[in-house]
Amino acid sequence: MRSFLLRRTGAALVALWLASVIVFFGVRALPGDAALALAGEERDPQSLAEIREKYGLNDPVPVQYLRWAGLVLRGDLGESVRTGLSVSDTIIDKLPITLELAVLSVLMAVLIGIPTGMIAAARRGGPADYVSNGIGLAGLSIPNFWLGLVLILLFAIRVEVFPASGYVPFLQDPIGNLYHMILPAFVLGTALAAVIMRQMRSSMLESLDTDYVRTARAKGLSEWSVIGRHAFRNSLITVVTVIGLQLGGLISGAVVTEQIFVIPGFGNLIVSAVFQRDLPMIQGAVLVAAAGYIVVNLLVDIVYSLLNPRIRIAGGAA
Amino acid sequence: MLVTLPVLAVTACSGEPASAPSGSDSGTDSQDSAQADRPAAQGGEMVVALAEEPDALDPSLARTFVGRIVFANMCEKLYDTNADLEVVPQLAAELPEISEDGTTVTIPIREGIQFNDGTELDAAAVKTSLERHQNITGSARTSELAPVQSVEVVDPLTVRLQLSQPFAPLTAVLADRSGMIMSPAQLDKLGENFADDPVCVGPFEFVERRAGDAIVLERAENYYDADQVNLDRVTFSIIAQGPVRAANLRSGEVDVAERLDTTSLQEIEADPNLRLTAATSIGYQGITINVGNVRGVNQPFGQRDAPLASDPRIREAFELSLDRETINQVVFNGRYQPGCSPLSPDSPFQPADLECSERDVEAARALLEEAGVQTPVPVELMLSTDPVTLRLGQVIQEMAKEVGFAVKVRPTEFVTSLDLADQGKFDTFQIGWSGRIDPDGNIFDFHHSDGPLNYSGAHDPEVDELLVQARTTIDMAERQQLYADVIDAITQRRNIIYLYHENLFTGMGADVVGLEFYGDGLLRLKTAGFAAD
Amino acid sequence: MSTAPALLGLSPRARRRRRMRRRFTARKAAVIGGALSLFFVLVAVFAPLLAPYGAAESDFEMVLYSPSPTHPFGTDELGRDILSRVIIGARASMTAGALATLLAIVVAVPIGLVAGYYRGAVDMVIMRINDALLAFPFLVLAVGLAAILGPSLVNAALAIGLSAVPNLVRITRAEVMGLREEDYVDGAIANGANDLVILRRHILPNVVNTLLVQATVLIPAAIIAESLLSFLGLGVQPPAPSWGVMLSAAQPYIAQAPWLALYPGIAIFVATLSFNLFGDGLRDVLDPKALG
Repeated sequence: MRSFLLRRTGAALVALWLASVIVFFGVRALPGDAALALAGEERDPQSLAEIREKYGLNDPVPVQYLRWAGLVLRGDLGESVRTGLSVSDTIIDKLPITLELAVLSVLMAVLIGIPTGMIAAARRGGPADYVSNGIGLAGLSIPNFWLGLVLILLFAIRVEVFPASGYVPFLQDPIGNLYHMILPAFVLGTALAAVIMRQMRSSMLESLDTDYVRTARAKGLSEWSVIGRHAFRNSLITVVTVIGLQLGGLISGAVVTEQIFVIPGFGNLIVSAVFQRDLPMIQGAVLVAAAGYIVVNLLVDIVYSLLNPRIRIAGGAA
Repeated sequence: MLVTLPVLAVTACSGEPASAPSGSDSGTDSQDSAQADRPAAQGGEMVVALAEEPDALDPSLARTFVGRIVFANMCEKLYDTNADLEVVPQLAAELPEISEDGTTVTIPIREGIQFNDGTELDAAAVKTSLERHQNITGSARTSELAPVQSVEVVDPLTVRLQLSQPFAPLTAVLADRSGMIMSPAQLDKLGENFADDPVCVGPFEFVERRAGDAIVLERAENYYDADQVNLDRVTFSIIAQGPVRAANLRSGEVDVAERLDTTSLQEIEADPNLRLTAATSIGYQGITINVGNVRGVNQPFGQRDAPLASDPRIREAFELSLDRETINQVVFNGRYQPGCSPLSPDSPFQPADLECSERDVEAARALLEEAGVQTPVPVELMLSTDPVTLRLGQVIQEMAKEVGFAVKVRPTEFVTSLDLADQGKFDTFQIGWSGRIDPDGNIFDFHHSDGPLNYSGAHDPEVDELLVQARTTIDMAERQQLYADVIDAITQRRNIIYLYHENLFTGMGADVVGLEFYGDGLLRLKTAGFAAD
Repeated sequence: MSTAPALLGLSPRARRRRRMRRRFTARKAAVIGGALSLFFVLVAVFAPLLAPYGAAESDFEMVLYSPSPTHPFGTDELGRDILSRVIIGARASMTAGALATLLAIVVAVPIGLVAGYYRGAVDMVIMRINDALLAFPFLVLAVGLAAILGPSLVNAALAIGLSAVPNLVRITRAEVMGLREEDYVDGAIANGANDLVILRRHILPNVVNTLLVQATVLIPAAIIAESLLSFLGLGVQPPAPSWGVMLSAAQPYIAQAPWLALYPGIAIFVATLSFNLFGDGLRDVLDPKALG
């Protein structure tokens, strides 16, 4: 077990380091001179030279990388070249907003996905199965940026039920905050709900087929209590894993959703940093996202291997 | 003084088209606005939606237009601009006294003024700030202050600048960020991190900044004109999307929203709780044609073999193919000002007799024939990727097609397009300029052979000579004549085809009073407040 | 087995195929999905013949007209016929879907084969880099790559395809690792067959089903990704139509002229849904263990 942990953690660290290299060099491969982006209308040669000097853009890229890596190892992500504010502080400011959005959308996905998945499995082949399957596929197929636009049109412009956009800090106004978050969380949650629903259905079908469920049925337990007590509990593990695996989709989705609903979160931060060529900000934010993803996957792997030692022997992360 | 310029309401059209283009009467027609002149109540917080995130709030480093909106309320300058786009004293006691040879500029400073931290404003503080503008690494001011060779404290309330050559735009430069004076005490404390907690002289003082979200200011107790100030607090909220700024204005989440899209105006005009003001921008929008920029800006010029570069008649035909009025109607709902000059129609330097060419398909075709060029004439138009500009590109494409141009629209992300323009890797480029008060700031850099923004690679000793003369001539009437000549020359040269001037639209709640807003696009909130009744 | 007599004259392979076809056609939804997918492909191929107007044909006198008999989907902000633009826009989506999927497979499969077959140090290096790439979510990677490559349909397809590579490498490698343990592969190795032959004869054919299943997931994902990139201004460039471009141009008019956003959105949705339905059916047939 210890060697597995060490190996797996080592691999994660290597991946993280490589990710930092990819981000750093990738950001510099973006077309358009970062100094020009920063200069705005003051883009005379003198101003550009001042900017290049101030931010060390004249140095060879590997030198710039080492300087940045040195800072990062000391826990400092540098300063935004655009606002002059600390990158880490800015990220710490934005992250909770996106996390809230993510948590709400997972909640929404679970509330929609699990019951529909269960019903579909229990009524396999029946109309309920068809309907929920259809909804599930629709959820997977609908582009969330369009869904966002349609919901804004329906519920914010035609019928003014929800605000079209914006954000109110939770601590300042909890109700207003949730009110602003409902549509975005729904938009972000649909795809995940569809995945959960499909996963729930298939794993329920599988467990409904197992011996102990058959035994339980033979004991005369009602169908719903069989489903509720046995099959449901078994399927839950799968669903939790699915949510873990969908983390990447959730991050991508958050970027888009925040754009549409103008939520000043982490995704918006990355997008505007890219358009402004705020290199330290892009690097910091993307590195944090990658680190989050790598850490979560490492934890999933470890938990999995604790639950199921065979994975360790097979030696592979699923 | 009338401070807000309400737009004539355009009633919504009923019937088939969702938005029939509305009249072109929406410019800056001033209408007596009793509403805006009501007295303001003391106190209150005003939330102002900005279209972009400002950059560092450090007058030496700041580069964005939107940053100037924030500065306008917390960092006063030696000079300011008034509603007639004239330069007037702000922290300076009077307009500068300029020596006979134009190289010595003496500036008297107002007495009894304190920075927002209580430090006295004096000549030494002015010297410190000006020198910091020139010397700090990363400064965005070095170029505009380049003619200033030294700053000398004559007495506690007088500074004298020595220039390397006469420089007429200097007063206007000192009415922008270069003229902002920072508290020397705060500079001692924060050094290059001044933006963390900027302190100047201003009606409001900096409280906090949340990246990507908001900047908060509070009434400044030490301000010399504090009894003019009504608001307790101003929050600048960053909302990049135009429709969202409009929506938040309508829902009352913000009190003021700047730079509204032309597509949002109708609904704001229709709303009895809102008011719209407009001012014609001091900048311009146009098409820059690459005539000689083959190796990059400020590199040796060359001859491009593209049709537009090779023959001025082809450029003229291109201009004649465009209908500025239709562009305004289709792309901007008739809300902007068609124009053909680098200067705002409101500028005192705008030649009174300037007339734009009208669309003339026949004449344009004749010119192409005369030039002996094979049609369709290929043109590549680089422009930015936002939907409105794309719309503009497609309208230009359609119009030019009729004459015999095959315009290929090449949408390019803004920073990349600047890079390509700088390297001379473009044929034509749709780009504008937010504008400067002094005409030099709208013309010199783009049209002088050595201009840092001479993307078109135009080079003409006569134009260069005129431009230098215009910037070193102090006499107003003489300068006006020189700029009329300059505009005439560049209109003939057609290295930039000017198309229109934006109107800047600021929406606000009907109860907002005392807000000053004119062509420079800044929102001056010093006397702003909420109506007392 | 009532079907048995009919199968008698057929080879085992043909019989399997027939069984599969039957299993597929038994799923009505999958058949409808397949038919609709084919429909979209045909629309894309014959778009210029089907579209009543040109995609860039604007009429400044007919700006933002709601749907009417002459313009069944209405006109857009430049007076262009939305129906024609939706039809011609299908080309971008289908091209991106096909090109990206093909590219992902062509790039990922050899890498996955090598990693899974040779294991050891090669696998180590490949997989660590792959892990690092996997840390960037698919769309984030696609957006980043598209930004680097510059906006165009082909570059968008490239970006989407390349972004799908890391995940596909992982799947292929896992599959190959499993096959590597099979007796017949061991046998072939013992017989001294060379690696290329083994990979081509014994391993690749067995990965094909998995790849087909992956392709059915990738195509709709690529269609959505293309529209998103175009929506963000990183894909197809106006005036060429793409459903994403149309949506992005429609955004400012969402209250005023919602039909601008409605039809391209529906097109994306239905196209994606058809490919997903089709893919679901195909998956059931080829890989009954998978989701379904």
